[in-house]
Amino acid sequence: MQFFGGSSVAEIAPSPAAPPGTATGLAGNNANMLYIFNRSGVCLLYREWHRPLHTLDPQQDQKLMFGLLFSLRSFTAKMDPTSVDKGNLGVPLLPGQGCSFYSFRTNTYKLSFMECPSGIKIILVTHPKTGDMREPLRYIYNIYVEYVIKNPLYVHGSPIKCELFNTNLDQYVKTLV
Amino acid sequence: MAAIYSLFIINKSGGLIFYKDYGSAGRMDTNDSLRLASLWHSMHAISQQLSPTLGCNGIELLQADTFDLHCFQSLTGTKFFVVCEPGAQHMEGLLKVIYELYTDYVLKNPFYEMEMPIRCELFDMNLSQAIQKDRVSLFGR
Repeated sequence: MQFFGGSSVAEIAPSPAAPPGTATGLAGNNANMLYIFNRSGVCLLYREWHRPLHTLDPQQDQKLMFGLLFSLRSFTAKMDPTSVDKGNLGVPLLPGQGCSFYSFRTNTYKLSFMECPSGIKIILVTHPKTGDMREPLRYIYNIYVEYVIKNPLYVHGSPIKCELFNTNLDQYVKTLV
Repeated sequence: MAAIYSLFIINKSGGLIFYKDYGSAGRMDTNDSLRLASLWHSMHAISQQLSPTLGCNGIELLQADTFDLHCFQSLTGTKFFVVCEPGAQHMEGLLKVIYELYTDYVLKNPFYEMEMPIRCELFDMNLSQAIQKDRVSLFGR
């Protein structure tokens, strides 16, 4: 039940709760969107809490997001100023291989990224003034393991349709500052 | 202020017009730096498409395990980005200083062709001075 030194279900406690929506002025939730991809690029989950602007239709949007992350990983692995021998650009990288990024920020949003050794990628899009989201992402991964992986009816590689997972996720995201 | 690893300047079409490496182990040859610059240009544009709200101007800060990347885009689409140590402070200020040097010593140079690689001695000199000021404070630690 231990992964990344995280806690088991019984001990999972929400971080000190801020009144929902205060950080960003959003009604009810502090995050904008969440994506979960598996290693082949299938979008297992897309949750949206506050997204006034939809530039592309959901399919395209998810493909674009995955493509961006793939390219960014190649970019950071190649750009790494501390390693001497780097592979060529465009070579698919294994999870954990080479330097990887964990977040980027624009003037309208902050994207936090986590890739697990199994190739599951979790992306959380929040308000630009959000702090370091690495711990919350690990917590979300734990929720995923508890309610999705351990669900005997879940077919791996297919989109997630577990009510318990969605509820717990929404509850947790509400407590993020 | 912390030391920076490298500086890139990209023109509005995504072509690399200036690249200077300040002593990183991962020094790149010309081809690689050109590819990375174009890659960054595209990703900067794509990140605007994924914004949940209006008015996104692209990536300003990228945080990775071993480095941070700060990017400044001028109103004309020229991008300046520095690769520095994680947690380096005042990089936005440094980028603005570099932008000022660019306007003074590159754009006002009558022999400089727009969007072409920068080959201006005065720009190089003043840039080294500006970066050097940072490094002195680093060695003084």
